[in-house]
Amino acid sequence: MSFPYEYIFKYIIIGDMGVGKSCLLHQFTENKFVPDNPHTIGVEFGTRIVDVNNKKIKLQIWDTAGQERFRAVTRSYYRGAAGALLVYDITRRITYNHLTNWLTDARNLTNPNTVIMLIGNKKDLDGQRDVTYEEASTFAKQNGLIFVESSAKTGENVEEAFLKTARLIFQSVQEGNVDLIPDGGITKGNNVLPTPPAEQPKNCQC
Amino acid sequence: MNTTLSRKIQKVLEIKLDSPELVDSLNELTTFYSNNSINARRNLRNDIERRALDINIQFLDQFTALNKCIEDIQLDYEDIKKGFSEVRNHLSQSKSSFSNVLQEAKKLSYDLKEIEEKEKMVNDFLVKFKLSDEQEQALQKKDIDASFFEALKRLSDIHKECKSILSVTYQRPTYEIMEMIAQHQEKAFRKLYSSVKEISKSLQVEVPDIDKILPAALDALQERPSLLSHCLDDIGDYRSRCISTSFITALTMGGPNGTPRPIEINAHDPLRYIGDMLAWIHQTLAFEFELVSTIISKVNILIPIKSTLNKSESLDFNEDLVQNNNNEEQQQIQQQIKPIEKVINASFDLICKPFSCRIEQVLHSKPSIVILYKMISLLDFYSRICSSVVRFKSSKVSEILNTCKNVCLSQFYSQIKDQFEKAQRVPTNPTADLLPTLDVKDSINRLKELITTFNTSLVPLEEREEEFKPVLIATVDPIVNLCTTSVTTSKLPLSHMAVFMINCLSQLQSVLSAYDFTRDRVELLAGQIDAHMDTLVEEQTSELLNLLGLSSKLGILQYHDMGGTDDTLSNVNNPQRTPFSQITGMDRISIKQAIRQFDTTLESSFGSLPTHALEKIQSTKLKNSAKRSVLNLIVQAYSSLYSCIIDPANQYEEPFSIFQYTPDQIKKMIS
Repeated sequence: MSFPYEYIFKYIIIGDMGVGKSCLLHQFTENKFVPDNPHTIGVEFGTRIVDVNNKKIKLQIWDTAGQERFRAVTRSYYRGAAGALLVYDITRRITYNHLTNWLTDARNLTNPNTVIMLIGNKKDLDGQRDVTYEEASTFAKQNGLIFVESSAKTGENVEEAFLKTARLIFQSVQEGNVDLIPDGGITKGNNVLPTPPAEQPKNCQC
Repeated sequence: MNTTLSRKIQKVLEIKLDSPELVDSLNELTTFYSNNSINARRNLRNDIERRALDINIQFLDQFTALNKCIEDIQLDYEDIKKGFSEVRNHLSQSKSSFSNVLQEAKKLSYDLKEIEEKEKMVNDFLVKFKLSDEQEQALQKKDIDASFFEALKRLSDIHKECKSILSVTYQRPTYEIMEMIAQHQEKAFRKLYSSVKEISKSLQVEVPDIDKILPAALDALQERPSLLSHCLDDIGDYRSRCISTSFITALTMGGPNGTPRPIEINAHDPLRYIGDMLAWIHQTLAFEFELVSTIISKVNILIPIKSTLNKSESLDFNEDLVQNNNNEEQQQIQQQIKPIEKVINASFDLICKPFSCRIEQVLHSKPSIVILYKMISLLDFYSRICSSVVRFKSSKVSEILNTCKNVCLSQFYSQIKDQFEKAQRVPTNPTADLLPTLDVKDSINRLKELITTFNTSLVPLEEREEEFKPVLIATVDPIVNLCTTSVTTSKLPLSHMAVFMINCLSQLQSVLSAYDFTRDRVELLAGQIDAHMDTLVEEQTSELLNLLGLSSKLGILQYHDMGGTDDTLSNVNNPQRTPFSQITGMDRISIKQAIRQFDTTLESSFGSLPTHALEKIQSTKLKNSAKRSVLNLIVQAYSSLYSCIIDPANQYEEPFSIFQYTPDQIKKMIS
């Protein structure tokens, strides 16, 4: 029971202030929606173990502050992220307009293999929609992103977004595109064959 | 004879011939009286008698035999009787002996019962106080598994049980049992200890596989806190080496094929460089905390903080027992720490050096004061964040970061001090626009950046004022000093000096005013600004009155109103006072001339007086307020002169014709 997972994937959630990044994280890790969540200070952290292709994968999610003043801190967390969730608010066009900046950052600061997922949050507020699904979908296609609209409030598509990203990362792992090292954001957890790590210390002892 | 004969006859006659006796007798007779002869008849009697005799002899013989038989029987009987008496004796003897046996049997069966009971108790006792064979085997098996822990648990249960009995009774046997148990325990713990040491070696890789035994083993070791402590030391040691290796790798090599890129690639950008290192540490700490929490999830005792003096040298398995008996030693080790805290702190021990080394390198490159302060803020931010990750106060990581922060702070203050000292030595004099000099402007801008940086920090609101106070002391006071030096070394007129000071101070104030934690300073600066404003207004007014030609008259007026230095008795209401019209310089003509000059100057400037110094105040609000004060003072001066002239006591002829305008008209004109 102690270490029931085979891989660790590191995620980062980015996007403008108030688009619901922390709410997405809470919804995903605790199945809870906290209205009036206070602004994230710097970065917050959550984990959850998910099942992908019958493999247990631990998602280590770093939720960053959207406020500009924390940029100096948050940009250090892109390093080695295996997945990046790029979030905007479908009811506020300005957050959509800033996506290009976020995307540039993400591309510059992560690996080429990092899976970037575009999430249009607050789907429950469809009446106040300011960005159409089609428009965002086209944007995603143009930039090679996967896209989903979700609601951290109702929980719709939240699970989906995190899992879809995990599946893509896992696929990439299986195809051998990604190296399994902690600094790369993907780590092999409990080894299926316990012998190699057991030998290693012996070597070290000599 | 007759009678005899008669009797005989009688007898014969009485004989009944058909009586059975007779028949039988005759029948009998026939058997031997076969021949009815005389002889025979004569001898019959004899014969019969002989026969009777024979029969008697026969009887006799027979009875003799019978007698003999009876005698035999009697003998036999005697024998039997004797035998029986013997038997009876025997029996009676047996009987008495058997009653003993019976008694004994009864006792024995009673004893048996007792013994059975005892056996049951002994069994119970064994169950309670002795390990089963399987358990003993489990303790001796090569590999540690669940049964080992079960057996170990039994041992400790027995030990506890013994302890609880000890105070009541059976002290000796209990001690013996305890000794035995202790031997078992010692062996078991020794084994457990060495096996934990072995398993812990698997923790030397960055993301280790955790042997499922490890948490249980550490749990069991809680009975030997010092052994547990040694094991935790080992774990912390392994993790520490591993973490420091990965830290160096992340710094210098990055991931495989260089993705992600090594952190040091950004070494030229101190904030990025330090930020990346700190983020790495933060993320590693979060991972590490989870890992160690898993490993020692079952350990809930407190561990004494290792006192390096008496423990590190030798390993004593009975240390704990010794300690229990040794109160003094126990008192010495009062400080205890949560195991998770101990391990995590140890795990991050080795990154202290490479990290602080790099901070020092950055400091060597003399980053700008603002960058330096941002570094400090970053270190402070992560120190707080890291504390919240591990949820305990004395976190090693935070300690390292705080130490670095303090090193940076001391360089920060000394750099600030140097810079101000340098600026002080060669002060730049204010330019004609009387705006803050470049030095002052730079310092204010720098302060602004420091404040903005501080405002985004994680310092809790209630600590902010106190926390930022030293920075304000180190910056605001020198800025004010710098302004003062700049202006006092210049040869500017007093009003210009004041304007310069006002411009500098108000700019400084506006930088500070947006924040709560600078409130005291803002008030202090407001006071300073007010003082300079007073000077300015006074200077500007006297300058203007000079220009307008009223100052000499007002001087005389004031001098006499104040009561003159040589005439102590005179005052305004003193009827014996000399009328103003008779005082030199206050005669009607010279007053009229002065008023004329005043009017002309005013008219030529279309009512707006040349307030050159005031115009150079940067803040419109201050400028307007200063102007208002100056004009008020002028109107006031005019009014005082006016009321003096028209006062009949001063004996001016046609006083009203001296003035072209009333004070109210003047007021309207200039404001």
